[in-house]
Amino acid sequence: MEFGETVLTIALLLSIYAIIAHILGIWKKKNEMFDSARGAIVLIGVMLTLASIWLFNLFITRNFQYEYVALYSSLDLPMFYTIAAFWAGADGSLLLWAWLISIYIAIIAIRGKSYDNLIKHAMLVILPTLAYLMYMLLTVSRPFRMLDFMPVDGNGLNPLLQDPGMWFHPPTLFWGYAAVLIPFAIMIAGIYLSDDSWIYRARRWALWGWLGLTLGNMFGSYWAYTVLNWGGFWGWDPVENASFLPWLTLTAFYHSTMIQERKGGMKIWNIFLILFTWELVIYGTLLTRSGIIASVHTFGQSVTAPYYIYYMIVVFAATVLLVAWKYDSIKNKKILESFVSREGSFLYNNWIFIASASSVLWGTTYPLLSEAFRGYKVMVGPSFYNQVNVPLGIALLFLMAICPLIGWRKASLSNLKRNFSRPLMLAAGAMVIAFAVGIRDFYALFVAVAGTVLVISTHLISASRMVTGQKKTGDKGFTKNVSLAFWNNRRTFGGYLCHIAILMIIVSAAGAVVYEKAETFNMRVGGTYSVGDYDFRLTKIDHYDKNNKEVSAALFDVYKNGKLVLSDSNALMYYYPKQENTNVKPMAYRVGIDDLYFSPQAITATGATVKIKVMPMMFLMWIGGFYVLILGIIVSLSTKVAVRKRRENIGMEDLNEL
Amino acid sequence: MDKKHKNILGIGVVGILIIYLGAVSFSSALSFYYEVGEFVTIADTLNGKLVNVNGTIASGSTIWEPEKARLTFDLSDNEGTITVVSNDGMPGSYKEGIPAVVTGYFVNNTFQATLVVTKCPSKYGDDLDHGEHNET
Repeated sequence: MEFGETVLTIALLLSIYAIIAHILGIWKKKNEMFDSARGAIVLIGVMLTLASIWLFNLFITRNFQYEYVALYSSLDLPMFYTIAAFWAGADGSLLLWAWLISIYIAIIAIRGKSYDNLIKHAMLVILPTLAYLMYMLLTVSRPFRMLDFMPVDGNGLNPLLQDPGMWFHPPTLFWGYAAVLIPFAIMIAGIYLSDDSWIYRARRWALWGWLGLTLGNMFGSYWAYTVLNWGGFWGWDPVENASFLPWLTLTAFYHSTMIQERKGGMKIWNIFLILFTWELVIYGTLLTRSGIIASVHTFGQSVTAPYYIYYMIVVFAATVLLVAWKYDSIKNKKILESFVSREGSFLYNNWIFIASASSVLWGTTYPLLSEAFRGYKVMVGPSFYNQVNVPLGIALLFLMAICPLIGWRKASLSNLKRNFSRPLMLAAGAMVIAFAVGIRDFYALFVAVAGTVLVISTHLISASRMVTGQKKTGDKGFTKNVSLAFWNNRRTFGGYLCHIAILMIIVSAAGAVVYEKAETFNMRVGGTYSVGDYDFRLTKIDHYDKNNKEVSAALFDVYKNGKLVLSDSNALMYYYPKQENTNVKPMAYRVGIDDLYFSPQAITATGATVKIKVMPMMFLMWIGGFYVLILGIIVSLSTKVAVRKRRENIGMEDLNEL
Repeated sequence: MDKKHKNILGIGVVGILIIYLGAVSFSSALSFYYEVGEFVTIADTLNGKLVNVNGTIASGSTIWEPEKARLTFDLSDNEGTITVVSNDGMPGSYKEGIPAVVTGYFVNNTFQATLVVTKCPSKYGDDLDHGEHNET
């Protein structure tokens, strides 16, 4: 038997053993069964790591007798991309997913001390899922399938995937996909055991998954911007949507878990949010593997689609039945005394995320439903997603401005006056100044200016109150007071950083859309062409070979008000002889607050046809999404909310959370 | 009506408004999707509607005029062929013999494409180069 499949078979047998040991351990109440099951779980992690190293090795040694290696790499493919070709296709991605799950559960098994009744039951959800994935890897989605001949060369990697983003986008997305399974399983165990503490135990894994999904979506967005030539950061591509959907529901889940922690409410809501998040992860995988939707991500027709659909049906039916069976033990406490309250803001936040997720799910799925039930195919254009999600984004922005300062239970008029009069005055003042300097656009005035000032000022006021509270416990000087306030309220500050990041993303999206200027020119060398405040002078056309591609480059010097601000900026086209493919490589350069975006349509010996865009504020999106948001999640991850201690030690400022 | 019911009413109105706006924008964002054979039979009845057509880029049909960034090719399936013109440059991963979806309008017996999306052939197994003496 082939080495990779032998290792996978051993891992599958180990997982079956671990499942049986868990059942017997729970049934017979024998702790020694769990000790051996934990050993088996660690061994599953070792086996899947071996299988993954083996697949890396097959790519590195360019062993084309393996069909998967032959399909996604070739002799001329640079080693950098040859290694990343591991996850270029469906089979390798499935192995990556299973590998990450096995590492997560091996960590849980090794830590031991937290391997309590909840986790023991959760393993009876995780292990069968992992065993199912491994069964698929051995039967219908085989990365170690061998050909009965040795091809001279492989087919090579899709040129669109030959970008450094290949190293970051798929692994981070699958890191998130794998992590979401853990809170889902803990939730199932919690319902079965009527143990409300599942929400605390799921929190950090949900955050870890959220970090992975956030990074995956941001890398995907940056890839779309700099590689796919979609001309923007988000194209509402169906499979792009598929990775966005679980992010939306998981974001809603993380917010509403705080209400369950503090108030014991929204329990059923939370159960279904994490169920839908996991279902949407599977749905996203189904879309990328079934070939039912045309997209850059889809891997064509595959026999795996029914496997994902059956799994989704079983998971949904089992969860609904379990909830129905245990309904009496899931006691929802009434949380909403007033719509104008902190609880209300959490509820609205959830509605916004669910409305957004519903619209994206509907737009993505409707073409499939239409074909299946009405017999004709349709496509849903980006305008639908924009028209629904832009207002929701604006509502979210103003909700973020309200939530740090609005009172719990019922915000009185005096509470509202005390907390919001200064931020509102500041926002109004900023709008007047913006209007005076010539800003007239609605989005720019209300979203970028008023929204920004409101969000930042309410967050700063809340943060300053935390520092004041810290000072009251013993004044240790400004720096130490701020540091201690931050350290003691890390979860809150982490949440605030996330809010600021989302603000930056919304503002940059509004700026790029409202103030974007674009022109397409048929240019001659030496000619100068204007877009917005910039003059672009085509200085040179260059053709050269680089690795496995032929490069055509149009070089520009860029001037603003007669002053050179950028030299030798490139508009690039790549020709890949192996695939006989020509691809546009869009290039973005930042000058001040503007991104200058070059997207060539043709480059000849004497000239070029190039679309040039000037997009303001785009840098905020990448700083917000890659740095501030990630930092915020990491800061939140650094805290642990203990089940019992929490209620005893709760302080006023602890209430100011994400 | 007490304050609570007023709030519920207000939220309900906002919710219905969002659903209404969503429904309106959804219907305007929908465009039909045809195979080439289907499209050929109804092309004359479309009256300039935006549509999507799926087919295969016919071998030997490509005319690439880089000075105008204009691409002309035939899109076909077993039941028909249409000529497609795109003035938006060379689409990513363009290659004859692969499937593509074109979005645009049918004018004067030519499909004026605003978007050409090529689909990557993914099942390459049959195309692998066997070589002459490497069978094992």
